[in-house]
This record gives sequence, structure tokens and C-alpha cells, in this order.
Amino acid sequence: MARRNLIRELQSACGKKWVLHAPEDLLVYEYDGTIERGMPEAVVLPDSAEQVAAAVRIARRHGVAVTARGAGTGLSGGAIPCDGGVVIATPRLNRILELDPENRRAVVEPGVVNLDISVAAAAYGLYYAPDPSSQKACTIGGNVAENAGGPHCLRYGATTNHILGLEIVTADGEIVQAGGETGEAPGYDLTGVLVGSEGTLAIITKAVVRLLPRPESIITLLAIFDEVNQASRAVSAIIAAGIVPAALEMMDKYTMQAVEAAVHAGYPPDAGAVLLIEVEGLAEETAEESRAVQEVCRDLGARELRIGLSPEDRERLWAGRKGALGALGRLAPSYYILDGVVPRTRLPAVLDGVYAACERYGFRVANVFHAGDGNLHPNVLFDERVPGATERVLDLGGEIMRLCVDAGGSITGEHGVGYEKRNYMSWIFSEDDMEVMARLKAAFGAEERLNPGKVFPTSKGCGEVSSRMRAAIARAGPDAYI
Amino acid sequence: MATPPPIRAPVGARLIAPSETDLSRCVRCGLCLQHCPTYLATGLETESPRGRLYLMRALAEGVAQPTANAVGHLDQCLQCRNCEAVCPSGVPYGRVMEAARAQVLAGGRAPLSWRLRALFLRQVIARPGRLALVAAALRLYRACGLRAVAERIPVLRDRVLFAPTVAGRPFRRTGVIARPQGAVQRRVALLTGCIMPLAYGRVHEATARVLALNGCEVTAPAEQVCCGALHAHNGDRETAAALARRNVDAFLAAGADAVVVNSAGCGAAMKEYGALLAEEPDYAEKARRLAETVRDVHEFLADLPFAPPASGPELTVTYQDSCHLAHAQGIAGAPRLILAAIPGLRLLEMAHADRCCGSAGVYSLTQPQMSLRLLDEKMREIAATGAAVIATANPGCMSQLEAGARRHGLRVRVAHAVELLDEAYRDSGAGV
Amino acid sequence: MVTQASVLQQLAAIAGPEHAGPPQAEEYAVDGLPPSAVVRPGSYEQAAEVLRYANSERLAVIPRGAGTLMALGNVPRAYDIALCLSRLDEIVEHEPADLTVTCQAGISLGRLREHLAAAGQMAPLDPTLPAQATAGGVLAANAYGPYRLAYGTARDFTIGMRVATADGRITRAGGRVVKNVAGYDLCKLYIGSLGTLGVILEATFKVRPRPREEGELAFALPGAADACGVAAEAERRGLSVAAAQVLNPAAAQALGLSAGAAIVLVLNLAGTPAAVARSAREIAALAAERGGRAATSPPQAGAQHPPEADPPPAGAGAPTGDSRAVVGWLSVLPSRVPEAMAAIEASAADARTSAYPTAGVLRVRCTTGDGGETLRRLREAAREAGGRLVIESCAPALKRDLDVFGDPPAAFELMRRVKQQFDPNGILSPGRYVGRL
Ligand SMILES: Cc1cc2nc3c(=O)[nH]c(=O)nc-3n(C[C@H](O)[C@H](O)[C@H](O)COP(=O)(O)OP(=O)(O)OC[C@H]3O[C@@H](n4cnc5c(N)ncnc54)[C@H](O)[C@@H]3O)c2cc1C
Ligand code: SF4
Ligand code: SF4
Repeated sequence: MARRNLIRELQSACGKKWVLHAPEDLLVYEYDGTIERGMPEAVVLPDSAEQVAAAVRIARRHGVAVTARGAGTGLSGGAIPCDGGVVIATPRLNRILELDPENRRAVVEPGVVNLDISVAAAAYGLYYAPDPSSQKACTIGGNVAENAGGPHCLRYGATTNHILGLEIVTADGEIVQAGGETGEAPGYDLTGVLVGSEGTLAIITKAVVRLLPRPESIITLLAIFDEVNQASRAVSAIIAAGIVPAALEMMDKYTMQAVEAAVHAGYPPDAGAVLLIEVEGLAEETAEESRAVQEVCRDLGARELRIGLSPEDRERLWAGRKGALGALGRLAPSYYILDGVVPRTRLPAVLDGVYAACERYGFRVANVFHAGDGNLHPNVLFDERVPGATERVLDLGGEIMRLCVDAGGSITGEHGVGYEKRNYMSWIFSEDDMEVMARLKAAFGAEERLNPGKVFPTSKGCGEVSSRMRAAIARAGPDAYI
Repeated sequence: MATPPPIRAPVGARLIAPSETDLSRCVRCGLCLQHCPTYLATGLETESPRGRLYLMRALAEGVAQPTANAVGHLDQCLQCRNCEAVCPSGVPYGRVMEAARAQVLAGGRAPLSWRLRALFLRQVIARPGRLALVAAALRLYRACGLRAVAERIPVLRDRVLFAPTVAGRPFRRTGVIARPQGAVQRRVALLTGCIMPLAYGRVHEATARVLALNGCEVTAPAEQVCCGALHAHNGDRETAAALARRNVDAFLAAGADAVVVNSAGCGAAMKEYGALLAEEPDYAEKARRLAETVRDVHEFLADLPFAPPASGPELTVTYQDSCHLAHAQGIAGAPRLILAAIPGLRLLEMAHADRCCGSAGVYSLTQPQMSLRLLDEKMREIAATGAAVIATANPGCMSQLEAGARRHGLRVRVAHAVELLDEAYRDSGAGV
Repeated sequence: MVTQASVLQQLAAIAGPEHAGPPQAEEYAVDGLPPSAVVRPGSYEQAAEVLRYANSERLAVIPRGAGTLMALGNVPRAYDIALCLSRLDEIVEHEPADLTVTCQAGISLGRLREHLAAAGQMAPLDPTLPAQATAGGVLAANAYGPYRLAYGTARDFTIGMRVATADGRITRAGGRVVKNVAGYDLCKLYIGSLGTLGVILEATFKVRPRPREEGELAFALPGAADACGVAAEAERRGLSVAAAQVLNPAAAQALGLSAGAAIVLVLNLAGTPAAVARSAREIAALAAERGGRAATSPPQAGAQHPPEADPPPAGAGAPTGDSRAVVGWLSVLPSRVPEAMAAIEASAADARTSAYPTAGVLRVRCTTGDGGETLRRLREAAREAGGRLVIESCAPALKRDLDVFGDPPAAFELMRRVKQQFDPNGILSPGRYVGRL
């Protein structure tokens, strides 16, 4: 009954067509890019900030939680409604409201797809720099929430360095402007803390993003190594040589196999690892830097170097990297992707540790990651249908996280804590540290009303909700709820 | 931690339910979303490849039931396979969707509309005699001017738009239909198909001439039947398999070097005969062998390679990728190569040329609203190029784009790419 | 009953008698207000303990580094303890190959610079800031200079912090790795919060290799629009510009860049030798196209620092000695910089203005002989250009009647709640922040 009213009110606020409540419809909002599940009670697709605010107020009145969802490509279970409640999905909020080439900024709605900003800005020789490998699909709202990174973060920084201001809807359903009119504004940097808050502080309804001029020259290098260790030592050596490339990515053997099957990138089947290195800037700089990088790679035993100068050649070298994660589906039915960070100098040792741990557990692992930043992505390949496999993979994940933390690193570099990693938070933050974060949440009035069960350790599991809902569907059949 | 329960072992033959392996291949990365026309149009996960795959998985597991709502989401899928083409994980989406539809249809709880559709496809499309009657009616409908009237009446306008155009001389020839002037370099068999000879006989004529000019002897085996693509797409794999068996026999008997197909949908289906008949001991091997010889006409010409025409009429052309050519068969370069080889022809690329026009087999008839929406967007993008001709590679697309041109009052001609090549040859004075 | 004596006694017990006492000189006064006690903790624990004590007794604490940036902020509501971090001045960790450095809050920029330079590196905390300014103070005030063009501001390269909360707990925000999204990014909140949310004890920065070649160019141009145009085009082309300043005639004159009535554009280049050489050529051509000619700058000790365009960098509102002097900054859209420059000159005839053109930040120094009248006019001018004037320093008498940060921003209510949560007793720099938080 209560649910019926909730849905009615949402329908009158956002239009009947844009409120989903049939069981089969809710089912496809129970996942994101991870192996977690959690089903909402209703999904709403608002068309304006006002509708978002109205939906938040309605949910609040009904005492149910709200979880924002962009494209659902998240890799930490962020968009999964752990507590049921209402999912606010942003695909209809996908307008680029303003493109101001003179001031190099754009005002966009949260559902705008990352790459679409650069496509729109291309006419002015500008682009939006953060480039998660999912950039053809993921949304700016999701990027802001996760503080998404990408290969070119190494030089240009992550999402947080490119967001000038935000419009948000608070847990109370109020629309608030947080910065963005001009470059600097007095007052606490709310935009700064909202970026990376994983949808737990507020719902983003607009973002002012910074655009950069396209560099004059870009050179992409692919260095092929026999051994992973050589490649990871080359990473440190490049940085130590005083070169900070625009991107410095690494892929290991299994990843190359998957990529080869997907895009025929021409990687030698017996290579141990490749580095994908991009230098950008003035022609004079890139020429010099690419020479220096090649030298370092050769010194460390690179057996082959390929160079991409034209956009087509560069695209070809990148194609494999961008599709790498998805391509892993070719190697195994499931993969568990980790997102640890270690100081760059610890990369070779930690990577060895990762391989050793996976071997101990008997799982294959494919590494494809942002080596220049020390941001590891071990992808543990497994089959979730094998009884007990998921549990063991999660244990292994914990061990790998431990390796990163012990090396002075972090449990997540760009995918967010979400649901998956919340219980590792206490490995890097004390009770006090987290209590301060909780205060911030309290200041936003968000407590457990926005994206509950995420970021901070709790004992409650997403899964319970989902199995309950699934059971309900199976029992009630067709019109389960309404 | 919630891990979904394992998919139940598929009941019955592999043919009538998506396989567990196929289903579990989707890792939900979402990289297909922005390529799916129905997701782009609605923003709904339920109308996305990832959502549909998840739903099909739930249907296979028995977690979800084939309610009107659930099958509605399958229905809204164009089966354009754009998602499949971009999926890094290699999810065989087309195959999964066909199997899921088959499963629903076989499950006895399929909606009436599905059963009627299957009946129509089986009883009319697969039966040349009955199809000819329908075609005759459509021919008359257009010729007597009724269509022009109907399309001007506001309440009817949207409803009648997608009635296929049937005009010109039907193609009825069988046996050897064209020979090269010089020595025969290759022997090819042409799939004539079901609707194509009735609606676009001229394309077959052009295809035959073009092939002959390039040293091919062209046969149209008399025993061939409809390729069965529409049946497979709509879940009637039994009929599809029955038709496939007959075609395997007919074309193997013809003993050609290649089976050339000028309809993208049919070509894609025939290339998949091997998979369709994989579990039939008598046919598995033969089907696989035949499938290996199937070539889309553009692919075939580009591989020859074809002789570039010496001259051609001045034309501006935009090319609409047929989904089953670009996505199902992965052929996007060959048609463009052919067009680019025509002197005087200027190829003007439209935005999103590889996005479905909304035709999609019988989709425009079963899902007119979505179809219209996609068509309208497509026509806007075509108009923006200013091209005088739309070239494409499939009869369904041709009919749809013609309807779009009428609806938008756009003075463009719709042609099969091979027709343009044929015209250029004739312009150069080359003859068979 | 808390008396000065009991406070002193308590602080001496925490930090040792030689590090706690009554203020020795004017030095510790903030806006003319002296504290009752000064304490210089020698460890994070001592600093936290001071706060614990102050919080329990509701004593107002104002943290300070070297005191170079203390003029920024509203007149404090109360001021009991000066929490001086100058003893916490060590480099905690520096692994050159990791491109990160961790240092204590009280370290001076001069020392930090020296230490990193030995490894061929730099922390982009603006090299133009006074050498004695401390890392913690620079972060709390979010001070920056023209090098923000190439390196961004503290929020862009500060990756971790240790902060003592108002109730005296030592907490961590961020980490020591360059990429990290675990938990809320509280560093952002503390940067620029002027010691109102917590006391910064330690910070970790991303560092970068020092540029191999540096250079400086100055051009006299007919108007501000021309100068901004050259800077924008140079940035668009990706030329090796690390810092850019557009100076109005008065500011140029003060720097000895006498160019008559013309606007002066000062650019600092950094990069590889070939890139810097080409950039210099192209920029000279760009300037010439717009009617510019080279302006000679006074000889500099080492070309790597831009002229300290008086006034000092944003945030660096050190007391100037001149009680009539006003120093402030405003931020507008970059396209409106010329307009804002003109508006400022129209409202204060003697204004020296320097703008960071592509960031849209302008810094102003002028004198007010007429009480608050000039200030009011300047604020109005800023508003008309779509910005807001923040007063970095002015006479305490003038300050008392205004909020130096201007009208509260749109999200002020949220900010108030943040302050309330982080410092419920209001002991940290009370009244100094935006909206007198
Ligand atoms: C193949 C692949 C490659 C990837 N590569 C990268 C990579 O290189 N770098 C990287 O950083 N990530 C990467 N990711 C992860 C993912 O794409 C990013 O985290 C992305 O930012 C998620 O965006 P989304 O729109 O899909 O958000 P979702 O998954 O829908 O949501 C993510 C989080 O954002 C919140 N959220 C969404 N919209 C809003 C809003 N409007 N307001 C408030 N909160 C909101 C959600 O509640 C959730 O917590 C990759 C993922 C995949 C599948
Ligand atoms: S791209 Fe492939 S793996 Fe990714 S969601 Fe789509 S179908 Fe699934
Ligand atoms: S086949 Fe086409 S319509 Fe269907 S899900 Fe794939 S992309 Fe979407």
C-alpha cells in the first residue's frame, strides 16, 4: 500500500512513463559493472533538477532511501540500491546546457556521457580531459561521484581537477549551487568534497566542467617486454628520468590475449607485458620525450617498440587498452576487478605479490592498469557458477588490498569504495578519521538517506535485500507489487 | 554479498533457449549502451542490450516470467546487433535474442501477437505463392494511387507508412541468369530470396549484370527458398531450420564457388546456417560447408577485386549501413569502397550511418512507434548531408528509407549500392 | 574558572614551559586583537592536546604558521590561544621517484623548496610566495600566485593531510599515493578553510620535476584585452607558459616596468629548451600583432621567479604597514577580465591591479582615504563584472564593519552546517571565515 502511494506520487512528479515498478523492469536496475546485486522498489528517470528534488522529497516522506544511477558502469557497486528504495537514474538529464569556448568551460547535466563533451567541444579545438576507459558509456554524474580517473590522469589529474562547480539536490530535496560561477569563490570547497562522495552526500544535477585545448602533438608508444617485471621497472625509470608522460599504461599477458581476441591489436602472443605510453605537448617536447622514453624502455629490455603518430595509428594502439576490461569476458565468465594504489616505486614488488597470491588461490589474473600512477587493476578471472568461487575470490581480493595498503597505498584509486570495499576502509582510516567523514555526511543531512550502505563499514549486506526481492518476484509472478 | 543463482541447465535442445555460456559472457560493462538505438531513444535500461541480456538470463533461469511487459522489452529490440558489434566481451547477442524468443514461443505462454506473427511468417513469407498474392495486393495499392491518398490522411498516415513498396518488374528467372562476355572466371549462385524478387527485382538484375561484368557466371538455383532469417529472428527456429536445410541442399547442388547475397539480412542468416543446424547430424557438416561460401555481394566484389567503372553520372550519395551487413557481418568498408570507385560520385557520410533506420525485418510493422522515431531521426541526418541518393544494402532498409523520404517530403532516391555500380558500368558503355 | 594563569599553566604542562607563555609582542595579534597565550607544540599529540583542552574550556584558538598570511579573514570574535606550528617543521618523507613529499605544517616554503630542489623537483605551491610562509598556512589560506596557470592551486596537488580536529583528535584525510578516492576528500575542505575546521599538522603533495629551462617575457600592450588575448592564444597553442600576469599601468610602474600608460603582460616560461625558445618567438609575434613591444623588467636574481607584482599573491595579505592600504582579490570569468580591470580603475584611481588572465583572478591594491567609500565602490565594480571582492587586508577599523568575504555565497547554509559539525563549540578561529563562521 505504502509502495503504491510512493509510486503514484513519483508518477505525478515525473510522469507515468518515467517511473518503473514492474518486477522485470526493476530487475535490470539491480546491477552495475560489479558482481553485486540489489533491487530497488522503484526507478525514476527525472527530466530536470526540479523533478530530482521532488523525487527526493517524496522518497524522504516515505522513509525510503534514494540512490543515484548514471550509466551503471561503476566498478564498486555504487549505483546498486543496497536498501531497496528509489533509484534516480539520469539518462534523460543528458543535455550539454552551455559550451563556452572563450572561458573553456561547459555546463552539463549529470547524464551526459563523458565522451560526448569532447565530441561537442571538438569544434573549438577543446576537449574534456578525464578519460576513463568507459568514457563511451559512463556519465559525468557517475564520474563526479567516483572522482573517475583514466589513462591521462597521470598528467591532467582526475575528475576533481576538472570540475569547477556543481548544482546539487540535497537529501532534503533542496537545489543548491556549489561554486561554479567563476573560478574561485570564497567559502568551503563543497565542490571539492562532493567530487568522489559516491552519491552519499547529494545528487548532482549539473556540473561545470573545464575544457582544455587539444595538444599540438601527441605521440603514442607501445613497448613490448618479455617480462612483467621489466615493464614495471621501466615505469619507475621513466618517472625517475624526469618525464611525466600524459599516460603510462600497462597490460600483462592474459589481458593481451583477451584484447587480441577482441580487437586484433597485433600484440605478440608470447610477450609478458606491454606499456602504452603517450607524450603530449609542443612538437619539440614530444619529440624529445618520446626519444627519452624509448631509450629507457630499450635499456630495460623492451624487445619491440611501436610508434603511433597519426590519429589512426594512435587509435589503433589505444583500441586494445580501451576495450581491455570488457574483453576479459572472453577469458572467463566472471572477473573481479581490484583497484589498489601503491607508490610507484613499489610497483614491481607489489605486482609480484599479486601474481603470487593469485597463484596460491589458483586463479588466473589479468593486469591492465594505470602504471604511471601506481594504480593497479588486477582482474581475477573466475566462474561465479562454481560453488564457493566468489567467496574465495573475495578473500583473495582482500589479500591483494592488504598488499597495497602495506606498501603505503590505498584501497581504491578511481573506482570508489562503494559497497565492495567498505570493509577495507578501516585498513587505511581510523575510527576517528571516519567519524569526521560521518560529520560531513551529517552536515549534508544525508545520513542513511542517500545511497546507504556505501563507503563506510557496516554489517548490512546488499544481497539480503536482493534475494528477498527476487524471491518476492518469483512468488508473486507478474504484477508483483502494484 | 549477493551472487545470482546459477542459470538452470537449459531445458530441451540448445536451440530453444539461450545457452548458459552465451548468457554469462555479458560482464555488464555497459560499453554497448550508447550504440543501442532503443536505449538512446528511451534512456531505459529495460530497452538496452545489457538490460535485455539480463532479462533473458532471468527468463532462462525462471527468475522472471514472460509477462507482456517482459516480452515487450524483447519485442522492442531491433535485433540490429549494433551492440554485438561493439561488445568487447564478444557476447553473441543476435544468437541469444533468437534463442530467447524461441524459448518464449516454445514455452506456451507467448503473447498472442507473437504467435500470430510466427504464423504469418510461416504461412505467408515462407510460401512463395501466398507471398506473391500479398505482393500483388501491395503493388495494386501503390499503383492505383490509394497509397498516396492514405499517406495523406492524418489518422492513417503513421499506420500505413510501413507497408512495403512493391513496384517494378518482379524477378522470376532461375537457372543461369547471366554470363560474362569473356571466359568464366567464377561461378556464383545468387540467393533471390522471398520479398526481394517481388519488391526489388531490379536489384537482382543489376547484381547479375555487375557480377557478369566481373567475370562471373550467375545462377539462381530453382530449388532455393526463403533464407529463414525473419523466422529465426522471431523465435521460430523450427521453420528457419527447415528452410535452411532446403537451401543447403539447393545451393550445394548448384556447386558454385560462392553463394552471393545482395540482401544483408539474408546474407547474415546464411552465414549462420552452420550454427543453426549444428545439432542435426545429417546437416551440420553440409551447413557449415555451405555457410563458408556465402558472401555478401559487396564483400564478394571488393575481394575480387571488381573492375572500377571508367565513368559514372555526377551524384551525391550518402550510405546507410544495413545493420546486418555492418554489425552482423562486420562489413562496412566494402560498400563504401565500391561507391568511392565510381567516378563522379561524391560520398557524403551522414552522422551515425551505422545506426538502425528502424526497418529491422518486420519491426516497423510490429513496433511502428519506435520505428518511426528512429526513421525520423535518420531522415534528419540524411537531409543534413544534402545527398541526392541514399545507398544501402538490404531491401528492408530500402523500403524503410523510401517511406521516410515520402514522409519527410525529401526528394532523394533510394538505391542499392550495387545498382549505382551497375549504372556507372552502363554509363561507361560497358555491357554484358 | 579559567584565568590567563590557568591557561598558561595548562599549556605549559602540554608543550613544556619554554614553549608556552603570554604573547611577547604585537606579533601574535590578529586584527589588533592579542591572544592571552601562545603555545608552540612540538608534536602532533601536543597540538591535539591543546585543542582538547581548549575545546573543553571553550577557549578560542587561532592556528598560525609564520604569520605572513594572518591578515586574511574577518576580525575574530574571540582569541585566547595562538597555536603556533613553527616547531613542526620537518620533511616526513620524500621519495623522489614517487614524485611525492610529505612535510609537517610548520615547514617554511623556503626550506621545502631547497629540499626538493636538491632532487631536481619542486612543489608547485606558488614559488612567488614569501619564503618564510609555512606549508600549513599556505594551505589554510589557499594562497596562490600566477603559477596556478601551469600547476593549479593547492587543491590540485595536495593528496593527503593530517589534521587535528577541534576536539583534539589526530585524523587523516587522503593518503600518500597520487591517486586515491577512498573516503571523502576532506583535504579539499580544509584547504582555504582558514583554520576554522581543524588544524593542519601535515600535508602530502604531488611534486614535479623542475623545468629544464625557464624564461621571462614582458610586453607593453595597448589595452587589457590585448594582453589577455595574447595570454589566451598562447595557452590555446599549448606554448610553454607557466605563469601570466596582466598589470595595469600603476602596478607595472610599481614594479619598475615603466611603460607609460600601457598595460603590461608578464609571462614566465618553463619547459624544454627548444619548447621555451619557440614559445618565446611565437609569443613575441603574437604581442607584436596586437601592437605590443617588449617591456624591460628590472634585473632579477634568477629568472625563475616572476616579478613580485605588488601586491603580493592572492591570500598573501601581509600587513602592509600603511593603515590606509587595501589589498583584495576577485574572480570573474576569464572573458571579463578586461572589463573588471577597467571597472576597478574607475572606482579607485590609484589601484594597482594585476590579473591572472586565463584564471580570471584579479588582485588589487589601493588606498582608501575616505573610510569605506572606496571599498564600497570596488565591491560594486566587482559585482558588475560578475565577481565578488574578497578583502585580504585592510585596516582593522574598516574591517570591523564588513565581511571581508562579501555577501554569503549561495551554499552558505551548507557551509554553516559543516562548521557546526566540525567545530560544534566554535573554538577554531571563531568569526574569521565567510559569513563570520
Ligand atoms: C570497461 C570499464 C572501464 C572502466 N574504466 C575506468 C577508468 O579508466 N577509470 C575510472 O575511474 N573508472 C573506470 N570505470 C568505472 C566507471 O566507469 C566509473 O566509475 C564511472 O565514473 C561510473 O559512471 P556511471 O555513469 O556508470 O555511474 P554509475 O555506475 O551509474 O554510478 C556510480 C556512482 O555514482 C553515483 N552517481 C551517479 N550519478 C550521480 C549523480 N547524478 N549524483 C550523485 N551521484 C551519482 C552512483 O550513486 C554511484 O555511487 C570503468 C568501468 C568499466 C565497465
Ligand atoms: S558490451 Fe557486451 S559485455 Fe558489455 S554490457 Fe554490453 S553486452 Fe554486456
Ligand atoms: S540488437 Fe540493436 S536494438 Fe537490440 S539491444 Fe542490440 S543494439 Fe539495441
